[in-house]
Amino acid sequence: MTARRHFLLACLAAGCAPWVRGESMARPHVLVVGGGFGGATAARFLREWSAGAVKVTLVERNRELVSCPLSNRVLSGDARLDSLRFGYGGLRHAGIDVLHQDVVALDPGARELRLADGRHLAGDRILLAPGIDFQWEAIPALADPDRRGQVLHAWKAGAQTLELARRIAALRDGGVLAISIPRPPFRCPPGPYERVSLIADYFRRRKPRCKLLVADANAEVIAKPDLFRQAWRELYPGIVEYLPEHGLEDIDLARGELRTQLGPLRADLLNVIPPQRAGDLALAAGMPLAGGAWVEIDWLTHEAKGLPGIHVIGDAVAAVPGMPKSAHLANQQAKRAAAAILDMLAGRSPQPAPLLANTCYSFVSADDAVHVAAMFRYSDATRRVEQVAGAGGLSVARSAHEGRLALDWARGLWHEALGPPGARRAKAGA
Amino acid sequence: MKPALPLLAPALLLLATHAAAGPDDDLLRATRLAASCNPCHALHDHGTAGRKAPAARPDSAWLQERLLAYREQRHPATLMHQVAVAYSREELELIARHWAQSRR
Ligand code: HEC
Repeated sequence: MTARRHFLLACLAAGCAPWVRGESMARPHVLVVGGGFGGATAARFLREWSAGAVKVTLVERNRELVSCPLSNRVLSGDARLDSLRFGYGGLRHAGIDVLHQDVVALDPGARELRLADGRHLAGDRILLAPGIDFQWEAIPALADPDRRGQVLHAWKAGAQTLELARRIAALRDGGVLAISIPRPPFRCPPGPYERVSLIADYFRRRKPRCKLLVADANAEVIAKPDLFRQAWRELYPGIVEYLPEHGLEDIDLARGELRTQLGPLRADLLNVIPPQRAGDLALAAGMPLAGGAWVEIDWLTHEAKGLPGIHVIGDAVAAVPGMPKSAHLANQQAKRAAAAILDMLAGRSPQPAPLLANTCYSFVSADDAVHVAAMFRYSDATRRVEQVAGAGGLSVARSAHEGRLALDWARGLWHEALGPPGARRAKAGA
Repeated sequence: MKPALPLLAPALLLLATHAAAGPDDDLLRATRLAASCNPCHALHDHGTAGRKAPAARPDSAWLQERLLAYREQRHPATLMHQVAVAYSREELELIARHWAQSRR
């Protein structure tokens, strides 16, 4: 490393921005793969905290981010999917090179990516935000990719969300919808129960003779159980039927039946949330996987265990006890990883913020929301992030006030990942 | 296209902050710690979730007092008390000074 570049980086880590007019320097380059809440937020903070001194390239397959937060509201007709679709203009505006490409190979040693169009990209460090993919092999009827379209998951917001909304709207009054919930860990633990609540509210208003069967693989609602159960009891009596320990074993596609541990369930419409694992990218890169499913990381630097220079954040990470997979935690991990990367590029010991917050707001009706919060702190002693005892907690009760806070919280997530509203607008017709 | 102005603007802003606070580890620490308060406060320059920012800039004494009140469960809240209790007094004071300085 040249002395001048060293100076630049040291200065950058100290939070100052050398801007030497007329001199060109080889800027350090960080490759970010995956433009969801984690990757997009990391890319923006790498630029902002280095005042542009670090070159950032974001590789993301899709031209738009469709927000999972609030997307259950599309199923109940309380939001339009268009209001949750965003473009990457805000990142380009921040000087980030955004490439809409598939990554076909990752060489952790050389810190190189190969893209589907044949291009090679080399970086000083690589940050992966692979998100989740599904364990289809757990559902024999859907092992064949051609059959998967017959049963919707709508667990990645987008086309499936719209299609499920359409099928729910087309259900006759008196029809039955069955939702299958897997064992954790999966993306957004309160998400399935929020979905149940919002669809139940839609049934209550529009098709009061419809029923919702909740086939949960778990013995009890795994997030905010009292708040959800109370809402179902008080607001949707006779509509929601909660069935614990109804883990999915298979699906009878011809009969429209879920085959569960405790017997078959027939319904007019099925929504199956499959078991999950780290996104395909993590598997392709030969990452160290806990339980064959989630990436083990060093909690100080966010580097994958045994792969220096390859940082991993978001849902794909093997979480610590009490830590859910959420957009909020992806946001928090993004900023810690960005800080660690900037320190390491400057040759300093990494000092990301020790604290991470999490909140998941969930709607239990069209207007009322509840929250769960948890706080985590990095411990030098254990070299891990640990949940802070005595911090975090739940809403006292559902309220329209928290419904408004929930909308605000989502806007904050969008803002940090994608920039201000004007810049993050999706292109019409895209 | 990369417009030159938006790229330079944050650099100048950081330089300005740097001149005011000194290029020390405290600034770095404060910036990173305060980032854990977002996304909840990303939209509201004065740290007001769910409400519009007040017209006047909250001074660091007001912020410190409010944050400590949340931390000690002395101020009514839906959520903020559950968050604040995870920070040390020193961390909250650092964040309050940083917010008061850097937010317009
Ligand atoms: C998970 C979301 C969340 C996080 C994280 C969070 N806040 Fe808050 N904050 C809120 C909410 C919601 C309120 C409104 C009070 C309430 O209902 O809890 C609030 C209120 C406040 C207020 C009072 C604003 C006013 O005008 O009355 C201040 C100041 C504040 N927060 C500062 C902070 C700081 C500093 C941090 C980081 C240490 C932080 N907040 C982290 C959600 C959050």
